[in-house]
Amino acid sequence: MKKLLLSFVFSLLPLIASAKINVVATLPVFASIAREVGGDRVEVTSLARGDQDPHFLDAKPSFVVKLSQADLLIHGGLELEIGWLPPIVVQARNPKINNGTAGNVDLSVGLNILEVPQTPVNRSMGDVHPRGNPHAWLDPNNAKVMAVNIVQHLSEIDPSGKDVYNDRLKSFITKLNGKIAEWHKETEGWKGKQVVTYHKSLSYVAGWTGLDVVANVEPKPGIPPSSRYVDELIDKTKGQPVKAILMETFYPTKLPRYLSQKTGIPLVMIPTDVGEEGVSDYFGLIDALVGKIGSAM
Amino acid sequence: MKKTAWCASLLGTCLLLAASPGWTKSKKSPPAEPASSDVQSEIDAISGRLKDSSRVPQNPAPQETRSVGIFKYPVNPTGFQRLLPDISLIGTFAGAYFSQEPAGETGVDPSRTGFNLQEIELAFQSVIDPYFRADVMLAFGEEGVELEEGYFTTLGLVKGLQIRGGKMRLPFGRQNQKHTENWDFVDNTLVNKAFLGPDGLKELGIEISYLIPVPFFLQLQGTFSNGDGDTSFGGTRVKDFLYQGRVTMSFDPSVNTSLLFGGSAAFGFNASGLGNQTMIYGGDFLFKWKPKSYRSVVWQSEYLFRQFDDAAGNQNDGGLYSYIDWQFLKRWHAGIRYDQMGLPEAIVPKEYRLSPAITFNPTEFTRIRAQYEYDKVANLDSVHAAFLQFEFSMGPHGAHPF
Repeated sequence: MKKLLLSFVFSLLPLIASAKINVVATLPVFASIAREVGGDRVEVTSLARGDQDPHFLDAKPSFVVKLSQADLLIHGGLELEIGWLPPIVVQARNPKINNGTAGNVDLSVGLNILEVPQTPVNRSMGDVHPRGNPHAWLDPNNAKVMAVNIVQHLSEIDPSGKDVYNDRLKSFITKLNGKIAEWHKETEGWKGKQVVTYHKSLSYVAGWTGLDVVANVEPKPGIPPSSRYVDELIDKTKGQPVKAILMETFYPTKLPRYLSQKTGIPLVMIPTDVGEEGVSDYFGLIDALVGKIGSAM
Repeated sequence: MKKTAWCASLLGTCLLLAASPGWTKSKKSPPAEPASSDVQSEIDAISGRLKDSSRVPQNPAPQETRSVGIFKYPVNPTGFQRLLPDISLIGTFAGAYFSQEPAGETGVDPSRTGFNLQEIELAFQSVIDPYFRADVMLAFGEEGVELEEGYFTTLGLVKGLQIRGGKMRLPFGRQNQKHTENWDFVDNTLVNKAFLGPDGLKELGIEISYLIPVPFFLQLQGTFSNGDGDTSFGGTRVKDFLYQGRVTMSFDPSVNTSLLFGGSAAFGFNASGLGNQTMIYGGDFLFKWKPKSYRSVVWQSEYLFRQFDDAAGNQNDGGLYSYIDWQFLKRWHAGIRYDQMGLPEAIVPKEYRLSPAITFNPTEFTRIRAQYEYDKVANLDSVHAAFLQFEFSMGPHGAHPF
């Protein structure tokens, strides 16, 4: 009986085998970095779309199917995907991508992580991430670490491609270094300029540009503002030299728009992930982000 | 040992800073394109840092300690404390009004006018080793504690295959597999209560499931269990086991929509007499439309058909529910559910129920739900009920099941 079952299982296996390394990333931005370093040797898909809030995805059965066929799973770690990723990894029944295996890449390893709580946390602080702010890919220096991390895992599961991955990694980092110098030039005047952001998703951008995030539209992470809170914000920001209210496209715009009307501070919609209009890869993402914020400076 | 690792990581960071052009403080003279050997040394520095990071926590907070008597223990988890399982607790309470008090066993549903403790669920969940994980949930009611579920799940079997063992909610339909906190309404559906029992079909047994490698979701589940559930099953002989299976199929017709179809069947023995058999078949359907991160519409329906042998012979019973849940703002849901029993009618009398509900989730960790219910059992007066439910969730962020 057991033999019969096993032979049945093995007879089906070749159906899903493919020549390329099958990489599944949770977010399009991680998929983009994987494509940069993996080149033709990898087939990369992303579970989320760029216009979705990465905190709130459904644990859809179609994701289970994608994970069941993956050779490598790339996720952001820091509990960004905790609301939907853990159950589908279990349901995928794919020993290759379990936690702690070569096929599971936690991109938070080795990063400079901001806003790691220094005191015990509780949820009166909102939906705080106990291990720090997870929007770390918006610091290009972190993108380098992510790329090296991905290459290390790729080289482990596909040793024959090691040289290709290393070469591609070198050119990715070379290109990124060039772009970083450019972005630095473009953001030279941002230091100390005040902005308001909807969510705490721009802490990393503030970190490398010197932007001063003086307030968030969300009173606490993950908690939508009440109109009373927005009124307080209006009083707080009126007359202040705040340059812009920055928000992602997936958040509700009603109250931020009201805040913008009352204070005269422009509302600027910004991309924070690949796949939003006109953003096709990691370089395009930071280009668009710098461009959009720069237009308000 | 730890200190050395620390120093190494610090050194790695310094190397990285030194090697990263354009990011050092001397902004005045942006460096030229670095030579490829510089890039290689930068990569090496990052590699070293990654190696260290896999051993040392990132940005560890200063080690604060708290004293109890002569014992000192660190406030921030380190070492073995990181191996603690995820512990969470969910409490569900409801205020209720019934125009006529409900009779019989109600399970976790509100049972009287006034205040009701529906359930306090304590969960311990953890990966055990590279091959297994385990989930244990204890349900506290006013009268005592019972094991809600407690099972292990394999992680490293042959691709596609998974085994679960222990006490579990059997995979019969959708509603039966969901815990109280994941219901979209205050109370259970009529048909689930009537056929699978007020507490749901939970059994001690084993499940083998297989994800068939096709381009869409196709899953087979088979369970073999004791069959002690006392509503439709619960034969008195030792050999009166329960055999149950389910097939689930799901695909996404478009990027914003998902469809799921399921078929379940259960065969066992009931307690109405020696060797009397019960067979239950179920079909379920789910449609979900999620055009934006915070907007969605779910339409879920289930039909159950039961063949029950007893002194009166072979009796055929059926019932269904169908509901729509609409998330119209990030924190607000509106739903309406229709229940009907008596399709066909045998042991369970004909009954209709209509339940509109509105739900507000102040955060992902609390829920306030108001629900009205119009309930009409054949030949009896109609019953009106109203509920106000409150739910809280402590501990790690639980994932939301689909």
